[in-house]
Formats: sequence, structure tokens, C-alpha cells
Amino acid sequence: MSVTIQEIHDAVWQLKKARALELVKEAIAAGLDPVEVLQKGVIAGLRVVGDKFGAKEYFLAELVMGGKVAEPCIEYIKPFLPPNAEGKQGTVVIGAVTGDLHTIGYGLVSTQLELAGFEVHKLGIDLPSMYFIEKAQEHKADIIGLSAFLVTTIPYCPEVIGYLRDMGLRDKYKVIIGGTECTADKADAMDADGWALNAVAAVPLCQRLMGKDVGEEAQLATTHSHPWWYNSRRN
Amino acid sequence: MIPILDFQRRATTGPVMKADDFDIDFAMKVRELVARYDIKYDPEQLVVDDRTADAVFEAGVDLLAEIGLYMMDTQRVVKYTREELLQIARESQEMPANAVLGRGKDRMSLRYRKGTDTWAPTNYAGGGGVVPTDYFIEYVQSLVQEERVKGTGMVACLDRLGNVAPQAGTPSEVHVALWEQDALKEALRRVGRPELNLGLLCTVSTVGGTMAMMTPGLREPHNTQIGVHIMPEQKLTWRSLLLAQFCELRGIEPWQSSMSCIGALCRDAADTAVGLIANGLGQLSYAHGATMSYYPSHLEGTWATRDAHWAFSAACRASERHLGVAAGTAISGDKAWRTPLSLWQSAGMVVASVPSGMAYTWFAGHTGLEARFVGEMMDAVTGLSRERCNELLQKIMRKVEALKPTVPSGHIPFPDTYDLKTMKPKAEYEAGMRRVMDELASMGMPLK
Repeated sequence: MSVTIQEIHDAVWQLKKARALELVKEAIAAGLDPVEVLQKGVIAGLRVVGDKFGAKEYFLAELVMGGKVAEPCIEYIKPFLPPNAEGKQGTVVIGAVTGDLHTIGYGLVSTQLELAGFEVHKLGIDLPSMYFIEKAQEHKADIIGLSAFLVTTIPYCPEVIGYLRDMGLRDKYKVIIGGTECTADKADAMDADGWALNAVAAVPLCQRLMGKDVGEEAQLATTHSHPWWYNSRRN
Repeated sequence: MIPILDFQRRATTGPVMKADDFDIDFAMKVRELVARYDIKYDPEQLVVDDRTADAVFEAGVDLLAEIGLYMMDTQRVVKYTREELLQIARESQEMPANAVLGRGKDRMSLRYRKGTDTWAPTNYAGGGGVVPTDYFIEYVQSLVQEERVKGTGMVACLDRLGNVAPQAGTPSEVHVALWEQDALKEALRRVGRPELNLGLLCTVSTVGGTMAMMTPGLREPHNTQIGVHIMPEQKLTWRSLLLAQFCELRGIEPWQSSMSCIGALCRDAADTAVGLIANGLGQLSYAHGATMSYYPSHLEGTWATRDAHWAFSAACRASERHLGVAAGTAISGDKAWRTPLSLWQSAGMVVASVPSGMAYTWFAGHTGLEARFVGEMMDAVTGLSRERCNELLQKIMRKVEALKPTVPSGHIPFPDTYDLKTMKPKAEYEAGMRRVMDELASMGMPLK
């Protein structure tokens, strides 16, 4: 009996890494549409992981595992896809700025964005400002995510923005910031493109920055009291 | 005790692992251990019993022994044996903490404390949070003018001095921190307590900046603590080791702080309590400090909840029964500082923590008035039985849970609460807080 898209979908949300990859290989070999295998199998399975996280049935570990289950599946499917068929929402490079060692926050944002269909490159912690720009260029990123949890590390966010400006690259990338001491006010003051209160709120922010329609929320998100904020002057 | 160079050897020769894989191992192992030791979160019994405390300790030892610590700089795992960890615990127990800070008449001590001890925890106030220069001195003054306040555990910090932001690893962080130290000293001078301990150095965060601040007349071994902690969950960098080594060489009491997140890699309060103990033992293994803050927090940044109280109590009681550290935590509100809600939330934390063996508390967001009232609460609860505290805690948490949704998020600015000339709380502010105290008394808190 040939493999079904539903089986792939289920293996992904049930976090069966080897089984999911095996099913994807079988599906491609059996001639199933690679776009459907990706979108309705792997990505839809990942969305279930995200929904379960939202419902507190799954936790951060499951989100991380979901990414690990999906990654080899997506890598395997990619060569079989027609051009522009990945349905990618955008590409994000993200990490913690110089001096900042906090991992959970930006890890959670990364996972939420991956679940929403963004290609995310996690860069690590305590990173030099220029490194973000080099990686953004290397991965042809749309968005640079800066995680800063301390009052002493937040100043590295405007440093990245300053480099972009002085290198003539400011309009090439959207820059978002997050972390305990980060606020919409601070994002506004440093002329960042956006800020989000938490990982869930980072998704509509990034979608909005990529020009997607996120409904009426976008209007509210220009105020500093909203859970996410985007810079309407720049966007 | 593991010599620091032995720790370095482990951090440079241990198994190579990706951080994501370590996270998954951690999460799965803590779940397995919580099941194995039958540890169950009970929202009706927020001060935990002996069996739970012992189970949390054993599970914490196993977690660290089986998972280790993740050294982010080398991407290797620092491994321990169970016997080594039990030896570290024994050494801690055999030398109960008594860290003396401050000088002369302003001396204070942070001592190991049991939940049944009849002396109240040390009021290690501080204030925490970000405060602007406009009223930084007055804010600190409001706290240190209170007799009950014995030191400033976690002082407020600055995020800007004029146009200069304290940027980690640059001269600006030292520049801003120097202003802060002068301001702290001025606050102490104004209240006639010049040798009071200044607590954790916050505005500088790097190794170089921290060392630069350790200057005669500013920060010295008698008046400072330096953070050497492990990040949640179970991750560290060379920074922690370098600063631990610096503390050891200079005779500075390291600030050990064990934090774990509810709802992230740890699913719930039970997982988190185990994580707190493993994290704490990891710090003891290289920092050998006398004090340990246990700090459970939800992923969204709240902490004054039933789950967090249970996790704290479980970790603190495990610590009380198996380690000799002076255990502390932050007593504060998590939604609207300087409102009655924050005092109600603090009352819940007091009743959960004092019978659990808390030895000291620092604050986040409180003024001197709340520091005084929290001190009165700690006196009132000291010596009460676990059963009576659990009963009182249920009443307080019901009040907190009813009140919280009605209070808008956002902190009341300090100048709205105190007259900055007389340095007395404004009448309306004090009256609001006194109503909370009156209601606590009517609920059965034996306030004197």
C-alpha cells in the first residue's frame, strides 16, 4: 500500500523523526506531488505541533523536536520542488547580540517562525554586530532578529542598525528586536522595524514586515501598547 | 568541591553536542525523573511536604548527573558523577552558610535557614528594575531608610545616563555603573548607613566591566556580590567560571542564582523544581558560594503564581533539607509594581517561602513602604506551621487571582508614591497598602 500525505502529516506532529523521513522518501519515490508532500504533509504537521504548544499540550522541547523532524524532510523534498514552490514566508537570521547569553527567548521565536513557514537561521548567542549582517547577506535574509535581554546588551541593537545604515544596507533588511527589557518604545527610538512581546506575537509581526495581510491587527500594531509593534514610518 | 581548572578540563573534553540536542535530552530526562520519583504539583499544597522535597532533591541530583551542564563556548557537556554531586551537597551541608556583608554597624549576614527556624529571613531589599537618574537616589533612599532593610540585594539599575547607554563590554557600561555607585553611596550617606552592603552588581554585565568596578571606595568584597550563575536550562559560558574564580581570589561572595522556566523545556512546576536543584548544584560545583536565589518564572515572565510558588517551595525545601546554602528569592509583583496587587502577590510569596526555608529576600519594584510591610509579613509568618501557611496561602491566592485580571498592566512611577522632599510615602499610597495589610490580618496573618 502506498504512503499517504496524512501519514506524513501524522508522523511529523507525533515527532517520529525517522518514520517521517522514511515516509517522505517513499512518497516522492511513489510519484506524489512534492509540493503537497511539503505543504500538506510536513508543514501542516508542524502547524499541529504549534497548535499543541499553544494549547499547552506540547512544550518547548516538542517545538525544538518538531523542527528537527521537519528539517531532514524538507531538505530531502527541496530538490524535487518546482521553482518558488516552497511557499516560504521569508528568511530570517536571528541570534543574541554581543554580551547576551540568553537562549530560550530567541529559540522560541525561531521555532514559532519556522512553524509559520519562515526559513530561519539561528545564529547563536553573544554575536558581534557585523556577524548578523554577514549572515543576512549570506542567507539572503529578509529580516534580522536581535535578541537582547539586558539593559547593557540592548545598545547593540542600534549598533547593528547603525552598521546597516552606514553600509547603505538599511532598506535591504527589516530589523526586529526582542527580550525582557526591550519595548516598543525602545524599538521606535532606535528606528528598528519591529518588536514583539513574545514568540507568538513575532509571527504576525514578521508576516506584516513581509507585506502579508494580517488583518486589522496591523492597524493596532503601530501603537506601543500592542503586543507587537511595527514601524509604520519605515514600512 | 570541583577545582575550577578541573571544571575547565571537563568543559573542554566532555561530549560534543548541539545545543538543541542538549535541550531535548534535558526536557525528556526531567520528565522521566519526575515520573520516576512521583513528584506531583499540587495547587492546594503550595508549601511542599518532606517527601516531595526529598524527591525533588534526588531527581535534581540525577538530572545533573545524567545530563550535565552545557558549555556554550565549547559546545561540550560538563559531566559529573552522582557521587561527586552528593559530595558537593554534603560539603555544603557541613558548612551552613553565614555570609557577612556590610561593615561596622551596617553589617548583615545571610545565613542558612530552615523553614521551622523562629528567626525571620533577612530583608535584602534593593529594588530591582530600571529606574531613571531623575529619582534614582530617592528610590534607593526610600528602601535603605527602612530599619528592616539590611542590605540592597538587587539594586535598581540604569538603562541610560544622559545620552549614554551602558553597552556591555565597552567603557560606557563602566561609565554608567560608576554614576550608579556614586548614587548608591549618596543614598546610603543620606540615611546614615554608609557601610551598608550594595548587593549584586547589575549595570555592568561583562567580566571586564565587573572587574573594573571592583575599586576601593566603590565596590569591594565587603559590599558586593557578583553574579556567576548558569542560564536556564543548564547552560553556561566561560564568563561564569571567570567571575567565580575572580570571586574566590578576591574574597567576594558570589551571587548564585538558579532560574528555571515553567512551560518551556520544563512543562510545569514539578519539572521546574527539579531543574532548579540541578542548576543550583551545578553552580555550587564551581562557585562554592554561600547564597542561592531560586527563581522559577513562567515563560511569559510572570512568577507570582501558584505554580511558581510550588516550584520555589519544592526547590527551597529540597535545598533546606540537603544543602547548607542561604536560599533566597525575589518577593514582588509581576504585573503592576507599586499597586495593591503587587503587595498581595508579595504576601503570597512570603507565605510560600518563609516556611520553605527562605533565608533572604530581594525585591523587584517595591518602594521602602512595601519593604517595611513585607518585613512585617515575614515576621508574622515565621514560626507558623506548614499546614497553617498552606491554609492562609489558599486565601491569599484566591484574592490574587480575583484581583489580577482587574488591574491594568504597567507600573506606577515611584514619584507618584513618595514625596521626594520628605521621603515619606504619599498618604493615599500608604492608605492603599495599609488596606492590604488589614485584609491580610483579617484573613489570619498574625501581624503584630
